[in-house]
Amino acid sequence: MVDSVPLLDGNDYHEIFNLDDPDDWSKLGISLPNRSKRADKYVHYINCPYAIIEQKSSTIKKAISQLEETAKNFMSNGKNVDYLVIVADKIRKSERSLFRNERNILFDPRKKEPYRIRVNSKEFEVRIYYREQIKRERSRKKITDFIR
Amino acid sequence: MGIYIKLNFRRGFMGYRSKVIKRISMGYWCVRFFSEVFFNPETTEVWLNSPIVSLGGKIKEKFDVNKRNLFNVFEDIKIKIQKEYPLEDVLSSVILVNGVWKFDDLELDGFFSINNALEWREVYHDLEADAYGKGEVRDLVDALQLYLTYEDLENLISRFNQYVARESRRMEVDITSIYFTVGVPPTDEVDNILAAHLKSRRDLVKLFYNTLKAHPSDPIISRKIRPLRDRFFINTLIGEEIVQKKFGEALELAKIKEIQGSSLTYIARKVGSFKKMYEKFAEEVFRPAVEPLETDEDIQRRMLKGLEKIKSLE
Repeated sequence: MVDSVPLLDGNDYHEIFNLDDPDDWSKLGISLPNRSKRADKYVHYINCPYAIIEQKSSTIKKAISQLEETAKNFMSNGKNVDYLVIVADKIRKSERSLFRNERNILFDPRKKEPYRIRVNSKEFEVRIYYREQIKRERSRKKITDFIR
Repeated sequence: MGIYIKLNFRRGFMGYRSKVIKRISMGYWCVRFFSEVFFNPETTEVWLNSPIVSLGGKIKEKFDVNKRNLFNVFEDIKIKIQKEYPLEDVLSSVILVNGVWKFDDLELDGFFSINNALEWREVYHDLEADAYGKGEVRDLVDALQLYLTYEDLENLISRFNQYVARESRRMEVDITSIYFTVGVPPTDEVDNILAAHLKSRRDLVKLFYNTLKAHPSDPIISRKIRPLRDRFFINTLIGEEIVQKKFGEALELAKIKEIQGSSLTYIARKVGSFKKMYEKFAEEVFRPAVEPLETDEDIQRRMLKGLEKIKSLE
């Protein structure tokens, strides 16, 4: 599970909530619609920010849709949302005409600008991390933490 | 994993609106097929540009639907496409049928998407069906694999393909391909296919060849195929009896079933089998066919040598 939670700007998570698990909704004190169109995780990072993470979607399009829906639900429940994050194996070639990973920000290659999800009055850029990158960064962090 | 259908509108004059109407009709038949057992439609939405707000989408109309009024809602949309909507809206539209996929105790939100907008159609093909995952189930075909036996899944895929092919003939539309894949349909990779409905073996060989070009196992192979014309290479291979034999052997090794009809349906037991088939075919057909060829550098050198001769005559 940890392997698919990215470090955000070098910071690790403090707490992970599994959004498929109603027990975790209770811990969060929220109720979500009983639908499967939602992201996978709500993560509290050690330096405070909260992220919604989608890590199982087989297309980027579906991942965005799930993040958008979940962010709306969380914000209407009064929960903090600071980052929207997609974790994927890669962006497949056919989808690369619509989506590009530019230094972990999801870009629109046609407009050459980041995609932005607007929920209420807040606007989010979407972060994207590949599983291999997460694994690499986590193992590097482990070494650095050990040395220091 | 989703289902992706690519259509080909027969030659001859057909206006833009007529093509869109035929695409919508094909979409209707797909929804109807799955709504017999698995899918409960809830809403139908007409979007412009894309079906998601963050991706520049704008909703134009929304209808509540159920199994009973689905036909009428689709007829309404077709009339609007024919008579009311500006052509610009027609050509940038994406029609979504949202609903719930039901497999015993598992319920997944899902959708059918009729992609009239060109940018979306190029990626997600003309018609698309999928589900949003839950727990260990990532998407629609994951759920189908989990809740159906292999034999039932094979029958379902085969029945669906025949059904779509029959409706397409009635609508005078050709089916270019139907893919059951994890993620978007493939252009140059085969690791995400569970089943494919294609016109001929040639189409699968072509996909294998695109895969070889994009991910060559050996850089020399890549330099040898670079100067070749795709069509020439594939046509030369496909006519050979030994290639057909090796194709059959690769199918057997990967345990992929080939169902012959007016088109061909390939069904694997698991995702990953097409990769196994590709590797066998690439090793036993592409490699021996390509090895005797010269590399792009060899050809370039010969060309320059030829030009040197002209220079010496000057």
